[in-house]
Amino acid sequence: MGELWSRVLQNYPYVFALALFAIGIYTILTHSNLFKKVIGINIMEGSTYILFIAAGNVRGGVAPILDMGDPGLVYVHPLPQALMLTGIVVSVSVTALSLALITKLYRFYGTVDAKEIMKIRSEVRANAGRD
Amino acid sequence: MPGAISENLAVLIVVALLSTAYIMPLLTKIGRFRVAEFFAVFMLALALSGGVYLAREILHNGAFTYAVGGWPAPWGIELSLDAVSGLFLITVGLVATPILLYASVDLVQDVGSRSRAAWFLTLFLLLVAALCGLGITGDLFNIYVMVEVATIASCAIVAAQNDATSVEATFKYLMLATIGSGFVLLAIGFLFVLTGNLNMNFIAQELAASWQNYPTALWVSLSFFMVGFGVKSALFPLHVWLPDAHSSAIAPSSAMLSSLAIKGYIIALLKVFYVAVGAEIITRLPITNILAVLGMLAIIAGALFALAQDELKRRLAFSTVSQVGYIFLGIGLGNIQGLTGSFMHILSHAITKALLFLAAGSIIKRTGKTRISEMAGVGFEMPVTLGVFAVGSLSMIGIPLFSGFVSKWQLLLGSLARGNYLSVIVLVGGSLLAAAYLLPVLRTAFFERPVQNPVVTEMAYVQLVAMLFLAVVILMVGVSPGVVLQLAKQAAMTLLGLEVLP
Amino acid sequence: MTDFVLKRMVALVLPFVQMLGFYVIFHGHLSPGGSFSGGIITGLSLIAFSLVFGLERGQEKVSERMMSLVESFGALWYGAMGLVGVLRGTTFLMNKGAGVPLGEPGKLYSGGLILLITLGVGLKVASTVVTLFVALMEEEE
Repeated sequence: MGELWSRVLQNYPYVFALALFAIGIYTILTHSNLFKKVIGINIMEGSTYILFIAAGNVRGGVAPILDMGDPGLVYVHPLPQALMLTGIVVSVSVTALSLALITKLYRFYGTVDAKEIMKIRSEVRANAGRD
Repeated sequence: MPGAISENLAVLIVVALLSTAYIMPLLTKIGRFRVAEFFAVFMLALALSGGVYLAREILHNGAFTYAVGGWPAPWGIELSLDAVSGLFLITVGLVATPILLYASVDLVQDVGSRSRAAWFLTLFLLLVAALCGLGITGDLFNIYVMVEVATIASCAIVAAQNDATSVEATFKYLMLATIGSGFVLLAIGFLFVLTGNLNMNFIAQELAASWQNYPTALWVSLSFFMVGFGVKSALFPLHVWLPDAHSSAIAPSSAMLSSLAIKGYIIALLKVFYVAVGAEIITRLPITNILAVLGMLAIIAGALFALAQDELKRRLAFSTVSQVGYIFLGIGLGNIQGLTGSFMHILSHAITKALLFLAAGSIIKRTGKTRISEMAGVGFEMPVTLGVFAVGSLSMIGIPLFSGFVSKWQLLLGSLARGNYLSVIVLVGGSLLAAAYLLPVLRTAFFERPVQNPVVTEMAYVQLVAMLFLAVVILMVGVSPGVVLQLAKQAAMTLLGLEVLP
Repeated sequence: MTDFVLKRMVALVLPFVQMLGFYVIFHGHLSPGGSFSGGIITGLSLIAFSLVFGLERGQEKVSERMMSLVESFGALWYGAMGLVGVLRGTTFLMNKGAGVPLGEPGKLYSGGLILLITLGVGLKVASTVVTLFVALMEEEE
């Protein structure tokens, strides 16, 4: 049992990443405010950055910029950082798309709350059925 | 010069489609919109012929790899061109070209304005390029990027119509799809931590040597992949976004999403499970059984949901949930006939569902009726459209001489080879249910007299040609599946790591 | 917005922000940052102008048409750079092997095609950010 806990503590970035991931998904699924859903997406994507960066980290390593003067330097793994730059670009575009959709939804329904949108929709549908 | 093109053909297909996507707004601003449309259809047809050429090469000379930028595998991005990519490139080309041809007639009217139509073309081509990329890539992170491009593009083409229902469906789709990609990225992260590689062949080597040291981590990664790609490809309990998104979009968008977009994620799942992790490990883990069970549930539940719908497009959308179940069942069977059946069903369902959605969109556009119970006598008004709808329905049910039969036959053989009699019953039952939800449409359209005199006319010739093309492909694959079936079989053998004879 | 101090300050600072943006783009292969960060900085400078002086004056400076042209150009430029390798008989995006001179490590011109590709991507990112901003602003009216 003690060994397990020490291993968990040693790898705390991964634990943080998974906790953040769960928080992000919880935010997306439970909050009815559309903006909070978008914030949840960003928390979720952020957790994966932590996972990758932690995976590429070398304790005592420096930023992977080649320094010709000091051949003894230890560098961190540059690949995860490059990948996460792509990940950031992707999450920026998802955020931009969802914000654009939210402004559209606000114009159509006059609210940014998912529950109220559902209510308006069911009212519209009920009225259409009555005619 | 011809040598340079054929050597780089795989990457050129993707680059050409991407470049065409970005030219579209320019062409519309400078020249006429028709020119842009024609150019887009032309490039898709070119991509299709490129895909056919590549598939022929692969079939005759075996699979090969391509190092982008000249960097060999563990450092650079590697494209792996095997029968899987050949088959998927053909599928994408065969389906996307007629859909765009169909869309081009009424596009400006459908989406509102010329500049919006130009952006629709851009997004459509981006989606096609991303799907082609998913088919040919051999790198895990590349898969993630292509999946994201495909997701964003398909979300945006659902919202193309710009009305309240479709925008709301898009938002729901975007949220769930993003959760899916979050799971996929996390799972890729797990595999990267475990093996230190992103190239799928190298991951397979590392895992084969050491997976028994951390079975739990591998398990977590695989289940994350299953959930992530499952959400995106509408695996049964995760399908909730699909009916809204696919039924509220314009006809070409629905056809594209239902037939191709979800197949791209299935191909990605297949590559991760069978290439990156390897058939050796994956068939030993119970995850394939889970996929088979979910597939069977999807077949029955999707068909029952479809039966309950009166709106034609919603019925077709739930039918997609059911038919995706067949593909997952084949993956779950994990033997050569099962996987062949899955690949055949990816092709045949893509063509069939595209045809059905285009025909349904035509009916709705011309008559303004969305419900099946209102469609009495439409068959007399639009004989060609309903005729191709009949072809699509028969193929979807799995009648012999139609393409759906070929794939379902292979799945049946796979189930028998595994001794899995429950799945045999489910396969047959699914076909019966498909008959139950598709044939009433034809009965209403052809055997009930309309209330008023016919006022509706057929669609434009170009659109009829696009639909007839798909119908002819269904019949051709159904009557003589030879080459395609051989390609699918070779794809299945590649995934299972069996020796492929050139 | 009629804030005099804000307008003067933005007018004073903007050229330097844009210079920083292009500096980051051009030194992407030598130092932290690159086309994405540099493109964002350049795009943000244009957005700041629109925010302070109003969307209309911002549109006068860089029109939407211009931005979409730059956006398409950036993407096509990347493809064209990739094709250099194909035309020289090697693979897509091939750099040194396609006979492109690499330059001297550590100097501004080093890494062959990478600098040119970075420039295209930077322009694309900058114009995309501005287009997004304009699209979201116009939705609100």
